[in-house]
Amino acid sequence: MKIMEVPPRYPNFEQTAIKKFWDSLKEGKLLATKCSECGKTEFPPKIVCTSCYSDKMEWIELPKRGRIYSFTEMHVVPTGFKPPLTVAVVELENGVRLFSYVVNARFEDLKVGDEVEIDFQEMNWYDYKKHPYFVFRKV
Amino acid sequence: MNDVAIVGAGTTKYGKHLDKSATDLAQLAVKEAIESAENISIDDFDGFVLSSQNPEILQKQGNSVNHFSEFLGIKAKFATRVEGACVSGSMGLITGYMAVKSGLVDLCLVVGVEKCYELPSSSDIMAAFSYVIDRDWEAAFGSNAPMGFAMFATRHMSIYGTKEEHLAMVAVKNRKFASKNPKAHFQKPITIEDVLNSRPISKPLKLLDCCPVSDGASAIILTRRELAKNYTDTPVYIKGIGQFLINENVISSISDLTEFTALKIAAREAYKRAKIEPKDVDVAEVHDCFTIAEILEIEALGFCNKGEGGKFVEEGETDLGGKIPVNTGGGLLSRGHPIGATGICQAGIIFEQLRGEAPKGRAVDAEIGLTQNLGGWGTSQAVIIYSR
Ligand SMILES: [Zn+2]
Repeated sequence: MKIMEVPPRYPNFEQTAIKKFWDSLKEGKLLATKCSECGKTEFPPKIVCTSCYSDKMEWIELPKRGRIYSFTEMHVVPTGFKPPLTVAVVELENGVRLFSYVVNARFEDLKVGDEVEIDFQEMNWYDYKKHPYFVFRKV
Repeated sequence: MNDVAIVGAGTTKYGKHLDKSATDLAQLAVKEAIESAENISIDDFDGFVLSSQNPEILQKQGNSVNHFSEFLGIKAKFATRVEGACVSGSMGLITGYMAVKSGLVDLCLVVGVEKCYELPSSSDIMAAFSYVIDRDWEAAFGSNAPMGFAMFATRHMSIYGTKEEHLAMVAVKNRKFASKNPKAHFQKPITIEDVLNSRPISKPLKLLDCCPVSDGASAIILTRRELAKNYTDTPVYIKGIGQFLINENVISSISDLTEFTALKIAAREAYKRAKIEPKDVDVAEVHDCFTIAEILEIEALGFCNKGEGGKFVEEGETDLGGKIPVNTGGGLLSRGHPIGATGICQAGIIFEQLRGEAPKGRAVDAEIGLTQNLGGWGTSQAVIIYSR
């Protein structure tokens, strides 16, 4: 028995204020919040704008294409994960940046500026259940 | 407002202390700090600041200030615990500095401690430290500290042509300094080939590009200028501080992965308060948790131009005899990184340098010293400037 793993936590995907974000992932849509007062787009999504503090946030769908801003391949990971894992920061066509796995490339196959598309797949989450999440696929 | 002086410093050796608890380590650091000064007993302190990142998870022990007071034998009219991930130590020093500067306390003990080797394996320790990473948007992917700094390395290498050899040179230099520091976790000299051939951790970072997990404790004693001479003939003064926190905690939120933007701002503030410029600094201890970090730091601190950190290291400008010797204590890479203790240990190394007590092989004739300590992905930064 493992004495310690990355400790589980139990985000409530059914009751969270950003339930729409998680629900949309199941439909293959990636959402962010946009402030309807000042226009700032927020990712991770937020219920109050971090710029003007308006609570009039609306959901927008993010573009499905972007370019690699930076990347790495993890070989040492906490208990419970299986290395190697390629991860990247991707800048979407509208300037929003995201972090996730690159599922079809190793470190040596990638360079800054490479084009990627957003895909969706089930991922293990802290509650040890599978939840849909977005990943990157090198084009 | 009072001028603030350092009158004592102590540290344990950093490394694996399987036979000592967190409170044992803290006691040993405090004992050395008290003995480095004159006329101080534990009863003389009226301020106590504890910097510790993770006792709740590493030791399953909360209520830190009370817990440590029992073993340190300290009573204080101002006491607090400070936590800011890897910058906890400098945040603790700045808290103690404010307490003395404001006149709230006369003699303040600042102690940093982390005890990691209680958990059964290194991946358990890594799991414990993954608490510091955003749980929902980052840590869920198995992210850990090397991942974020590797992102900086990849981008800096792509934009500025920094090479893996440049990173390796940082590790080799800091190990050379550590070979003269009996308190360092690793003291055996290494070569560039050793670094390049070490196993990948988070590409392009390899094992010897990464600091170790260490147990250890460090302590600093602060008082105001008028009282300093009661405790030592050679106090060191805190000339200026600069801190900056930027709201870019998730790796994808960082606006520029080729620099530590928060450090540029913290440094500007510290230089302004100390009324000096980067070229006036004689010796610096910076937060080389990973080799790439030292390169980003010497750029952000203004020791060299942006993008030229690798070249600056290659030309020996951060070694003895260079423009600005960096990490003469061995750095986090070789000295070790007991999280909460690191910033306090850095101050102790500058204290030693400015008093002319550093041993041959890593001694710098210095009037002005600087420490830089970071938390998160370099998004929380602290700079402290010291003078004789
Ligand atoms: Zn707004």
